[in-house]
Amino acid sequence: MKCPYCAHDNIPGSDLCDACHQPLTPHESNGSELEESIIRHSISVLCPKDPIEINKNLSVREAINKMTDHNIGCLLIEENDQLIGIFTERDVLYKISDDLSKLNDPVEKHMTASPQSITKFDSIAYALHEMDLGGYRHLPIVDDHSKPTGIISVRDILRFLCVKFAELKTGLEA
Amino acid sequence: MSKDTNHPELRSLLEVTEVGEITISTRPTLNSNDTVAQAAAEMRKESHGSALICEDGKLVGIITERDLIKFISDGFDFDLPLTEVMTKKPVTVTTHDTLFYATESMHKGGYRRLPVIDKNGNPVGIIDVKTISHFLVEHFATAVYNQASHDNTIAKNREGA
Repeated sequence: MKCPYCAHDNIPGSDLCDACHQPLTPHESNGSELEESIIRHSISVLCPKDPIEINKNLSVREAINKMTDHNIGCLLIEENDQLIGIFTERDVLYKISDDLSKLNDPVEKHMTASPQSITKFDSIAYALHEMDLGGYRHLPIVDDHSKPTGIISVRDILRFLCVKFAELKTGLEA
Repeated sequence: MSKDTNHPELRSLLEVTEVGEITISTRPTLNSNDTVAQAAAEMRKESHGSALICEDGKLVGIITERDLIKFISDGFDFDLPLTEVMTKKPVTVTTHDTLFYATESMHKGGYRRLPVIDKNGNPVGIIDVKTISHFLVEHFATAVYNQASHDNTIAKNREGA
């Protein structure tokens, strides 16, 4: 039996999913199909991008160059295989753009330390909630050992909704 | 239509809601002779990651925080006038377009925000992905707020003792 949350294939008859421990019994419908789909699907279906990780001692200037090289607005700062911070283009606007001499500072000085993160088993609805609550555009995905494994953005979620929406509109199976 | 009127469906929400209802209104104060540094200051002041550039009340360009990143990386001077660096004639939506249309335009063009113009072509503000997602979250309170993190729901170790 396939888990409705993480798609792990379980032994028939199990009550809880072996991988994510969510109940395998179909839950009650309490809204539209789209609403259902963001609860049912884990963020893994968004195909999260690999994170771009940097060292905390890298200069802000080098960090910004990394952003443009990878055409990404968000870098993760890792130490001993653990997520310790996040540095985004929003940080550049607020903390750097008024004084370009800060470009020589280590990124550690201007990053957001201990950022909110999620796991790959969390639902899209949960990710959406966290982003909205914190006003974040990106959420790092970490494994059980706090090692970053991916990153999702609010745009990934809106894209998912649009695709689902189009599927429903044309009458295909959601 | 939704079977339960207390839970309007997302599909109808996106189709009936007009961009004008959730647009972040801005008072465009920048013109194309202003500098990049002035645009950055304006964005910080407005706590918004982009600024519209107008001339004679008409929209002529947009500058975003992503542009600032590029300027820094390319070693550009922040004293450059906006006319040399702004995105000219950006894709826009009107206040009467649907949210679905706006979301699709963003998706197709890879944009995170779009300038909004009224029916006379005058700029009135900006719509961005965060505003749209916040709008959706508010309308999906039951679906969104009841979600627990997988990580927090399962105790990894036995508690106590």
